[in-house]
Amino acid sequence: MKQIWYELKSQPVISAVTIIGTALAMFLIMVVVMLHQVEVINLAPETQRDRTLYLGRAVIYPAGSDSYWGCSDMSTSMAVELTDCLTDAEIASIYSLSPDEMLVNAEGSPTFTADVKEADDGFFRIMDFNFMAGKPFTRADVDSRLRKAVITSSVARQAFSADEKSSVGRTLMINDVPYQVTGVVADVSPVTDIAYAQVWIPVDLTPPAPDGWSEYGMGSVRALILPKPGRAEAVKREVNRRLAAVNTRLTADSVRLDIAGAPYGHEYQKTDTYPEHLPDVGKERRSRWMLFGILLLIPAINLSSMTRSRLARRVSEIGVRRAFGCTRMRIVGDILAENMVITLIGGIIGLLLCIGFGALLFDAIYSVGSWTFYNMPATLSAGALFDWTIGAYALLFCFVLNLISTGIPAIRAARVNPVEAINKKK
Amino acid sequence: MKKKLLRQILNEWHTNVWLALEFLVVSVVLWYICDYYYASLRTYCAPLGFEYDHCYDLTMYEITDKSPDFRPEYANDSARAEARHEILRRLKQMPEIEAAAYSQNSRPFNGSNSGITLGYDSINGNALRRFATPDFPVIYRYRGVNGETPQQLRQQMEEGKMLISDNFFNQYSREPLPSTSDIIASGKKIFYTDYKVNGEHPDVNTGAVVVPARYSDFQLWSSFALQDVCRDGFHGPEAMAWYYNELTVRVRPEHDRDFSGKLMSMAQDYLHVGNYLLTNVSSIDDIRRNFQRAETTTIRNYSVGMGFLMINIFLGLLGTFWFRTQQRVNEIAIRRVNGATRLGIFRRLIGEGLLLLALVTPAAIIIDFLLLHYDIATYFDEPHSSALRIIICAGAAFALMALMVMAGIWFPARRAMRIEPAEALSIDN
Repeated sequence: MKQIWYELKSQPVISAVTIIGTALAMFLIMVVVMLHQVEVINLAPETQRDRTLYLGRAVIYPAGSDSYWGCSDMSTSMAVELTDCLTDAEIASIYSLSPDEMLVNAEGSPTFTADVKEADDGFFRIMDFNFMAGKPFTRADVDSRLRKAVITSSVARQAFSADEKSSVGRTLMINDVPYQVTGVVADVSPVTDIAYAQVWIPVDLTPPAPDGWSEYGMGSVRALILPKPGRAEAVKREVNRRLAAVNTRLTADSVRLDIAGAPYGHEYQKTDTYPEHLPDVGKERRSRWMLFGILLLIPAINLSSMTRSRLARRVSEIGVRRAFGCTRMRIVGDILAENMVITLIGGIIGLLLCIGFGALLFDAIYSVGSWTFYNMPATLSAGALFDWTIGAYALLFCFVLNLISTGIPAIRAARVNPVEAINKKK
Repeated sequence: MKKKLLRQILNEWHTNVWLALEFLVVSVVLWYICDYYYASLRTYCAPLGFEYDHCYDLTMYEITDKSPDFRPEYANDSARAEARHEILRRLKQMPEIEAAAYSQNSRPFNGSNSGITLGYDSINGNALRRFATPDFPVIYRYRGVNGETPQQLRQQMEEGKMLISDNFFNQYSREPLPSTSDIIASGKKIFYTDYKVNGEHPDVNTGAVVVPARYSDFQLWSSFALQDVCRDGFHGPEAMAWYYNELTVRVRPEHDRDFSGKLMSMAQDYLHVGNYLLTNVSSIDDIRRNFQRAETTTIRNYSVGMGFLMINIFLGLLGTFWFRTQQRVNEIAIRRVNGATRLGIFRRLIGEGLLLLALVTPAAIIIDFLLLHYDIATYFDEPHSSALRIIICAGAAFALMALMVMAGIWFPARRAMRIEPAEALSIDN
């Protein structure tokens, strides 16, 4: 460590450029990592993203044709038909993806708009909402079409000017319809857009009247399935068996229902929110790694020239060590380890910058879905970013950056002929 | 001098090969970003075909039987249609409002679409179907290709005529096809392919041919047919209740101050008709910003990426040339002794960086061309592969790179200028 400190001090310009360069590179890479990770890691209340299966796109083809006739979310009856009582599922839930902006007010208080989402009771068992008072609505509430609502604490404050506890049980008018508040949860960020809303009301599961649309499975809800451990594939098979049965029935109408490759995992859901086919996750991954490649290669090339200039001053030292029988591998290993310290310093600065940036300015860089307005800003707590996968990515990229930027100069330095190296006057 | 510089670059090929690789990768990435900007700017600057300033979208909610305010006598189709007409009438009576229309998947910056297929001779064309009530062309200032005003277009829509965009048949056709105005001028009939009356496809009652109106700022898709579904001869007046899912208005500019607040204050009484209730008013400009967030985010992210790469080039050259001038103290001193001026030394170092960049550029342009050729760099509908596009974007990338080369070498080169030959050569080497 002393040696590294001495090295850093002896060439301040090159040392500063090295650390700034490393920190900058790591910062940018980690911002890209962060923007991607917040979409895939388990983030409260979506704490079961890694286990959840998603479905809900209905694509209708005329029989025998491969160009579709219509594409939308699912009707409630089709969602029920495909997901109700699956043998291998722990919980299934039906919900509306995009919240609707509705007028909300309590008696005697001014009206304001809030994002309202329809969901069933299963939704609250899959999502881990932080209930500050009360509880979610129940299966019986959903089945009996009772007008119950779960609201966020900011809605409770705005509507009732009251704390969470005293808001439970009160009546909230939502688009002129009275709902009874059963529970109050902590505010949810649109970053977790499946869970996000400001008010949740029971989804109406009554089959809609046939209208040349919903009987083919088109509508406005989606479904979540939480399979029993290790049974995801069995769930997929069962859903597809049920789909085949639906399609046998639909042959009478000369149409075919396709569900765009669903049910699928969270990454697919994030790759394309409104897919017509199974989302191309591979393409997304390739372009992400290509981006990482460019973001790593360019700074690595720069840093390697700094490393070379630092090593050039130590030729004689390397010569002496070689003369005393130190192997080339050992020298390369030592140089890599030394530089790893510098890379880690830069890496930690970069990571901290990224986390600070994320906690303060996340809403400015994160883009939640294209076609939706959200009443709440997309915030992210710094705590959420202290996730092991983000740390693991940072360490991996530091390691790769160090290997590319130091590996080649180190090998070249270790190849030095001890006699010549020691003979050099400087 | 060029020859000597080349020789020097070759002699130090070990460092230079890395530098050249960096130049190459960054040149291509910068070109890609410049090309993205170029393509998006070209699309963005193309005529939009409509205007949306002072326009607002009104969200109407239909109260259900769950509400104490639900009025069952307004729940049937004819009453619902009549309530919608009444809302339009009330809106148009407001002094602030110039025009108001219902429409279906038609207002600008809208993710939902409907399609329509029309035909002439044996040719079928498919484009956006915009169903709307007659004020629609006035709200968005649509124009006819022969100079018809929005008001004249409204008149034609009231007569049940269909307004077809001039590029309806040929915007995306594989073979060159005539424009809609040419088809009509040649006396040919345009017919509906989706309907049949007495076994025949009925003719379209065509009105003015209109200027194409684009889908959004970043899309060139602009072919459409506009008609009032209640007046098309196939649907009854109830279609008003069934089809229309959007309500938009144009506000007179002098009244466009806190318009949404004013309208919302009337939501509970003046604009509460039948079971309809106004729940939200948003300006089309806000909707537009939201709708195009993906594109604007990409542009912003690319700009940050571009800045990052440029800083990297700067730092990389700063470090490399700092080291080089350190190593070349003797050489520079000897040059100075032999009569080289300070400026000459400075220019020589900068020249070295620029020459290396120039050597790499042809390879970068070949890669750029391949990326375009194999459709890797296509965004939007922008027709690509034009030589001009490559020249402009590669030129911009080169200029940016050259700027960074000069900035990065500036400090080391200034240091080199200050080398005093006597001191440098006296150092015990």
